[in-house]
Amino acid sequence: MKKGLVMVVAALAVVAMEKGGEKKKDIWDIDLGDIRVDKELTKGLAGKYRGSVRLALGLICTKEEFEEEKRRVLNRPLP
Amino acid sequence: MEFSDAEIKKLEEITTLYATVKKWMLYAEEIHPEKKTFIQPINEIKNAFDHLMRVFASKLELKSVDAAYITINLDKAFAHIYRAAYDLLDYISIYLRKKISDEINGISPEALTTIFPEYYKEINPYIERISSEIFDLRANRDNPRINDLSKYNKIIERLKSHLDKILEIKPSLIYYEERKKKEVRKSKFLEILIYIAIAIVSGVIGAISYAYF
Repeated sequence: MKKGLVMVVAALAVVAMEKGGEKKKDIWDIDLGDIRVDKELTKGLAGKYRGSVRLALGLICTKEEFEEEKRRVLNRPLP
Repeated sequence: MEFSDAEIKKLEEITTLYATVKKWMLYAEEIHPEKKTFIQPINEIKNAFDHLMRVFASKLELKSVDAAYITINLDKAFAHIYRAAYDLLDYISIYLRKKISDEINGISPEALTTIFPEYYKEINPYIERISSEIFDLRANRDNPRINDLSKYNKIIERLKSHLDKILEIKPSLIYYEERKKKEVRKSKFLEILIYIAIAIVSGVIGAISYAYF
């Protein structure tokens, strides 16, 4: 009886380990997320890092800003 | 590290397209009125780099993979660079249109017709027409086709040449406008003088009439 119980527990442990293994995806195959920029934050922290000057000055055009500008430009009739 | 012929061909395609993307990236920063950096293509380049690293990881045996893994990741890297190219071309075309519109803004249709007839004959209709062409090309953004990309590139080159022409002819347009304004001021001044003369003559006639009759 005891032996049977131990075997069941061991089998469950193996299944749990396999499932755990499935969850742990290979690092190479994890996709990177989109770049999100908080301009005010980057400008505020500009003095604390040595990176892109454009970034430090908040001179970045995000996808959302571009789509908005594009809508404006396309709606403006040419002279 | 060894690559098959097909892999080398794909790597060549990625590298060639990247060179073009880099050129457009620099131009995109230049054309923006505030010289801003566009984040979206950087995001695509970052993802392309990630797929290339997966290829190198498998080639350097840091990762065990099946036969299709390298081809899939090279294709994905190419697709990301391709999307970066599209995003940049979209961005450049919009800012070129904006710049052309800004440069022409304030110039009268009369000045444009007289000094720069090409604008209404060719440039204006072309810019209106390409908006729909670009829309059609953008619909294929997720389906890499180099021919579409070169069509888009031709549109950009043509817009650039139109902008160059406008910038070249703008001083003449401004000069024409100034001359026209001066002429209008001069004729208004003459008109006022005539009114004053009429008023004086009328006054004199009135005074003489009053004195004698």
